[in-house]
Amino acid sequence: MLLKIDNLHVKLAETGKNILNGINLEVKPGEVHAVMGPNGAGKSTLAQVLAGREGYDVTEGDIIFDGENIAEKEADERARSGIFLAFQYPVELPGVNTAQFLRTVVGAQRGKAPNAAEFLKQAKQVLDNLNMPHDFLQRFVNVGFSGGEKKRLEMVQMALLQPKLAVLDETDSGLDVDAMKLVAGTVNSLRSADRSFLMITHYERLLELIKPDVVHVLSGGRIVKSGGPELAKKIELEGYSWL
Amino acid sequence: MLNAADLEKFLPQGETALHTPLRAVRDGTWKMAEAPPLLSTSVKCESGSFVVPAGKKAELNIEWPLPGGGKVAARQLHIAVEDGAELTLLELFKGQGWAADNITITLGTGAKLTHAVVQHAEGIVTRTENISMGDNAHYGRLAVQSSSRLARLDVALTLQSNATVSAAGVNLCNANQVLDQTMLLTLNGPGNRCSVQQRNVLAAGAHSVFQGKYYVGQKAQKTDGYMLVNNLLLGDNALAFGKPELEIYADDVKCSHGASTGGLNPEQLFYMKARGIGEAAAKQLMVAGFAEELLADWPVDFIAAAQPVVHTWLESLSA
Repeated sequence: MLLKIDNLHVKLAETGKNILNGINLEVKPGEVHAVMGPNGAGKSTLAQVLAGREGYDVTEGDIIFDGENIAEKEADERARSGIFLAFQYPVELPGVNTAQFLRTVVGAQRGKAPNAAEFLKQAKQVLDNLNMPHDFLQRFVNVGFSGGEKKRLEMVQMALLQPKLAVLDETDSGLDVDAMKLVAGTVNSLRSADRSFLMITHYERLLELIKPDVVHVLSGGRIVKSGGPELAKKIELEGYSWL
Repeated sequence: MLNAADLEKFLPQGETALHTPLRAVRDGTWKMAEAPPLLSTSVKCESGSFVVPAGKKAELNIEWPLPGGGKVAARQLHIAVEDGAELTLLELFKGQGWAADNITITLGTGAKLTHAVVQHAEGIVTRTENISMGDNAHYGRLAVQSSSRLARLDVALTLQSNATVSAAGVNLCNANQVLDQTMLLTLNGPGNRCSVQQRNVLAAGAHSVFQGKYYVGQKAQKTDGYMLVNNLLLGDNALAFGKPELEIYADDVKCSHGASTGGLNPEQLFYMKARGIGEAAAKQLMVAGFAEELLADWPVDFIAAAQPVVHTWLESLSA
């Protein structure tokens, strides 16, 4: 098992409000899981908690990743152990050059900075695959990028980092049809027997491009239903009221 | 670009072309009456004058040595960029002691000065700059300061009509240091466009000052002025004084100013940590980004001079 979430309860540290109320989820290596659910169900909180964001208190339960309980680990430790979060709203880093940032990120994960020339060549290849001009590398991270460009830069980072588990938090939101195909193509090209994906989405159309193995419905901070891709189709047609 | 032999024709007798001390022109004005379109030289400066004749282009690098521990040097430099001429001026400060310098700059009609002051001295730097701009002149200024116990750059700009000013400043302050950037822009005629941005990074116990003011006279209609100071506080007992001011007597102008003071952005920190960058390295990247965002659009030589100052300061912070 790559990821096992066992009876996870989470509250907001600042207000004490309970957000996740007993999540149970198991993701095997190579699997793609989709998490759907109405607004306010706790989907993004689940993604942020997996990545180790501060401001949430785990009050009960465990997060076992690759055989280790990571519930108390810092975000950077989790990332270096192979968890990647593609942000719903990627953050702008004014003054931070994108090429240098990407090289720093890859260096942090490998323990040493990659050879600059080889890395640049690799980064340009990944940009080409996502139909992004090379001059993005010379711009500040996400500054002045459109919403779709920001999402694509998340995919560039995912492709360079080759994580064990990629958590995609509404990566499809704000993308046009062509951009969504590029993003889906990146995910599909990275699918392998030892890499898993947890995709948070509102829309079934992404799941037509990236076929999930399991679909979960999150509501009220719990997973209330799990099934195959047909579950996503049913939600697309009928909404969540039948649950 | 000139070769050394060409350049020597324009120098006082006996001086070598490159790395010539400016004492060569200490006693008079170095008028490059016959200077070719581009003159590039590098000098160690004590005091003197430098004139770029009308329509010519020049580059000048000045290294200001401080006089040594316990000593004071009071120096003067006058620079004239005549009508339609262009000068790229890079000034560096190094050493110990107290430098008390006075600079006057006159820009002719349509003249252009791109100016950097990079100050990484270990002593005290106090400096007054009076810059007088003709119609349609342009002044671009980058000032980066760190290291000094006390530094004050006191800049007074006087604009006539349709001139442009683009000024960016970065102060990197350690404990027990006071770094001060003071700038007064006096606008006497119409159609001037000015932007002033100052960023101060303060370690625990550091002290920075930014005083900036637009004085917009009655004739300075259609002025477009902007002034912003951002202070980044990295520790306890840091003290940032910011005083952007407007004094406006014209009735058809657009002038704004702003100031912010705060710590590192937790959203940015989480984003970097979620990519595997450790907290200390992430904070260092953020601080570097805060400072270096203002370095981006300057000549390569300016960036090459300023970036090591930023990085050295950041290393001293984590040491």
